[in-house]
Amino acid sequence: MPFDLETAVADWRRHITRRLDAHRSTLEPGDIDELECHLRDAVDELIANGHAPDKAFRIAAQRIAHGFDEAADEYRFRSVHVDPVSRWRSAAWVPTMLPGTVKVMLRNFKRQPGFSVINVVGLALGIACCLIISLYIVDEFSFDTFHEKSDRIYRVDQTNVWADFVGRFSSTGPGVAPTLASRIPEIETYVRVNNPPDWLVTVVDDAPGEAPATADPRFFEEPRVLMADSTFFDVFTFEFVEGTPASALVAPYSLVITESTREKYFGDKRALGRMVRVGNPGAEERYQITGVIADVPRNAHFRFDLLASLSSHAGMRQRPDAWVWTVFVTYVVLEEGASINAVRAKLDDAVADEANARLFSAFGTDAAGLAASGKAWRMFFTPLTDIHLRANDAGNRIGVVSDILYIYVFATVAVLIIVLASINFMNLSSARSVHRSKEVGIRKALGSRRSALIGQFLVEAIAFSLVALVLALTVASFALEPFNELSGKHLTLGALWRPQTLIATTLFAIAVGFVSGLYPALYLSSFSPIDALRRGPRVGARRLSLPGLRTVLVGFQFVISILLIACSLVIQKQLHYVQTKNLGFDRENVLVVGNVEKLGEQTDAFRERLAGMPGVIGVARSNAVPPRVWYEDFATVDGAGGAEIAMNSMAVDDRFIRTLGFDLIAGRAFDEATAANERYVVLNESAVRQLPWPDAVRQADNFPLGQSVAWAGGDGWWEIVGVVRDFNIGSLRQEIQPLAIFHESAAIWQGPNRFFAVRLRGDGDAATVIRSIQREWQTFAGALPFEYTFLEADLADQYEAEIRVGTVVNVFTAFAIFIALLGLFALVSFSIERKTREIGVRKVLGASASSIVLLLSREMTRLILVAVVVALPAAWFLMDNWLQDFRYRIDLGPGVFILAGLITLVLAWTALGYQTVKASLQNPVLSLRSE
Amino acid sequence: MLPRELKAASAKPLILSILARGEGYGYQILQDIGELSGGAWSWSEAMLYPVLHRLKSEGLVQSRWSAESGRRRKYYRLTDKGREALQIERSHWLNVHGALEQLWKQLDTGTGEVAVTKSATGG
Repeated sequence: MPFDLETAVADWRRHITRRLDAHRSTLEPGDIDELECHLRDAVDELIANGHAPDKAFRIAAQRIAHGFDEAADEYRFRSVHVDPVSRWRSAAWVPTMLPGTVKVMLRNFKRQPGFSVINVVGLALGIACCLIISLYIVDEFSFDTFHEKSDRIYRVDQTNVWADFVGRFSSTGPGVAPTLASRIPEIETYVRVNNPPDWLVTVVDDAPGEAPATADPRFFEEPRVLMADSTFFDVFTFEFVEGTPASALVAPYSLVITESTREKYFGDKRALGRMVRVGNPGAEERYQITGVIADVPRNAHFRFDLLASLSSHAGMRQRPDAWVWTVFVTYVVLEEGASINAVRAKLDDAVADEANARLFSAFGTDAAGLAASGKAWRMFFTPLTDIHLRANDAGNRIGVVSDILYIYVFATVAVLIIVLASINFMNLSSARSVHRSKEVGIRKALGSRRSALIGQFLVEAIAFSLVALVLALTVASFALEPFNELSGKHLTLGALWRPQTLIATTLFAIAVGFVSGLYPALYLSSFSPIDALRRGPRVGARRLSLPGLRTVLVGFQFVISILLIACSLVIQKQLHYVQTKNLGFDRENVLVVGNVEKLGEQTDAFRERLAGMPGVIGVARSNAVPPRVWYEDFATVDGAGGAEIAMNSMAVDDRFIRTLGFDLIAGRAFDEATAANERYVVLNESAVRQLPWPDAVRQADNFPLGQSVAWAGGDGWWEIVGVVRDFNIGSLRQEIQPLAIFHESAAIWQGPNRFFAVRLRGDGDAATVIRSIQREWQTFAGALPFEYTFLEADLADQYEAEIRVGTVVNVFTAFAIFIALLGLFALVSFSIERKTREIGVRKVLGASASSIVLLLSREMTRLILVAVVVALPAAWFLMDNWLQDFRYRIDLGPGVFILAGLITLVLAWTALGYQTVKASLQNPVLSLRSE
Repeated sequence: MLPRELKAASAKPLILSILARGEGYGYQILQDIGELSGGAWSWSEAMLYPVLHRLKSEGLVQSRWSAESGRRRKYYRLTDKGREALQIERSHWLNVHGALEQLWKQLDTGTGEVAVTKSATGG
């Protein structure tokens, strides 16, 4: 056989490779090539030196081979230094295999885009809801934290010893704060804040120091006015735009306004030093503007547009030491490091000592006597930052407050929603994994380690949740504005895009992705490659049932859904009830016009003009209109031996009872305009029941007509001429209180008769009537602001918080259910897909379409019924608790709960129905061929 | 024939020095070594390549494949680090060389024992 160099070299290569392997050295791809090149160079030279090719090859090859034994150490030395795992296989470290992971993920996405989209959208909606609710909660907790001393500021509250019941007042007398400050050294400073009735502010465009110009005075009705001690800005932190905090509120008739108010009054001009007039024309006081501050932040528990010096307060100058004149909300600042508990311990003694003398004069008793009668006079320090959420039981406060209960409600809803979305994510991921058992098998067969597989699934889940997060942030950005409208909040995108929020949500999304991905990751990666490849898909049911864990998760989703549905039904029902309950008068089509006392002597003329309008049925005047009945005093009857009851009062004209439609059950109203009306009174049923009549009187004919009542707020006795059926003068949260309706001519303390109640024709165009009334108002009152409300809206406003919360809960409930149904839909379509063959076989064997639908939905229906049984007691418990807030409430019958169950069933069936019907109608030939 | 230990020890400075003259490939380096020693050292291929590879993994030489001379060859060249390493090797070898040379010179002139005795008594 002739010598062929190429064959010889190829043989040599094989040999040398084996030889080097035997030396346990690991070759790099180019090493043999390099040796071969060397061999050929040697062969060439040997041939050039006169050797025959075969001889030349033999010599060269031997020379190379010879050295290996000698160089064995070198090779071994090298082999130790080489990474035992080759570089192309060392990819267990997640980042290095990220490109591959992403590729696999995208392929899976392409193969089942529907599931992937549902998966991501469901989670995104869940995160978006959660995000918005979190912003809401963060905002609620941020109240009053912007004050530099917020952790040291306390409001002084006291027991309400005035009325029949013991509640809490958040206001105290003007003398309380100075006394406490002198007895408790830890008190650094204090401020007393008074909330006067609405101001009428007249602004004349006069420069500072100049005489008031005569040109065009402008009037502003200012409801948000506070009067405060000069220490106000030592206690609270507000940003000054003009003026200085220290001196702004010292002098009487000083006034600090907000930037918005400045713009309203003076446009873009500076305000410092300018004068405004306050009060009705003819009886004004002049205030000088001593400061302008930035608008009060929305997360302050009290907000104001104007802040006057308390030294301007006339009553304050007369009795600065009073303890029983509780119209001042008092805030104290404790010294840094002072122990609030130590301060609280001193409080009781201070109050008891100081109050004894004053209490004696007010109640004919002392502190101990009051305590014995169950009405101890105590004071409390309520932390400033607790006021917004944890002190809504204290009455007579300034500022609208919220309730921590709503935070709990929202937080619960947020948690439920994110749990729903995560369950969906887990269910869908694990369901989808059926298709991936082959992938797992092949990867394992090719040497993939379990850690690499777990990494793959976790990275996929986290990537999906991050995509969902981006989507969620987008959705939340767009949803913020509608949410603000629903909730009455002013959350901003700024809060959403803060780095902390982003970091927190990213971590959250990663956590959700991690938890969601953990189950499929651990489960799938545990497949033995042989099982995964041989048996193919083995997750999901071979029978028509869901596997255990997923059944539990789906069942849990149903429980949550039913719970939410039941709760929102109950809330809606109760809110509907309080807004439509027969209050004892006709609330519809009543326009309430305020400020009419400011017309002075022209009031009657104005009234006649209104009464003559075509759309108006009647006009009545009063000092109070439900739900704003403010006047309360003590009443007694003859023979009661000094026993009194607290009673509300109204002063009305002779048309009022008829105009509002009070139901007169005995006697008459102030029907005729006679002078005798001033000694007549009309009571409600509660008043008749509660007044301490002797039994003999109760037996009298015509009782209580003709009997007389003594009223502490007036002089003498009033004869009862009529009784009206109880009507709710305030919120339905409270029991109906006793009420006395006096005639406006009665000599009692009743405040200004500031309201017109105008009954409109129900069939007319209210807007046109209001326009004509406004025109009339302008002819009579000029630039005085025209104020009106609808009685029905005023009544509904009492439940504003509940209505808002109810609406928000509804919306989120809808989202939660949508997310749950989305998951259900995907899951069902998935499991039906797995059962295509079974359905085909059943049909071939003669099953009808309807029997298959039944078969497919039976499991789900059973699950829902179980969920109903679990969810309803929880819903009942929660709602029963909530309803306890209302004195007048709906019956929590089984109706709502049955309805909630039915709604869930119907919704689930809708999600199921389309697919089951489609599956059952499919031609078995097609479905059998498909697998 | 050079002892194995010495051959192994001198491989690194030899190769670095040869590559310090310019790029080279394995066969050529082996040829150069053969010429330098007059063929007495019998360096083998199996000896050379592992050393080259080690030098490369230590970052003292770089390599590239090139077919510029007609056959695809792997060329090696010194890196900066290789140049430094060469300086260090050189000083080591010169030290050893200097010490040995001095000793042998004394042996040749017969002063060796005196020197040793001197230092023993004077100490």
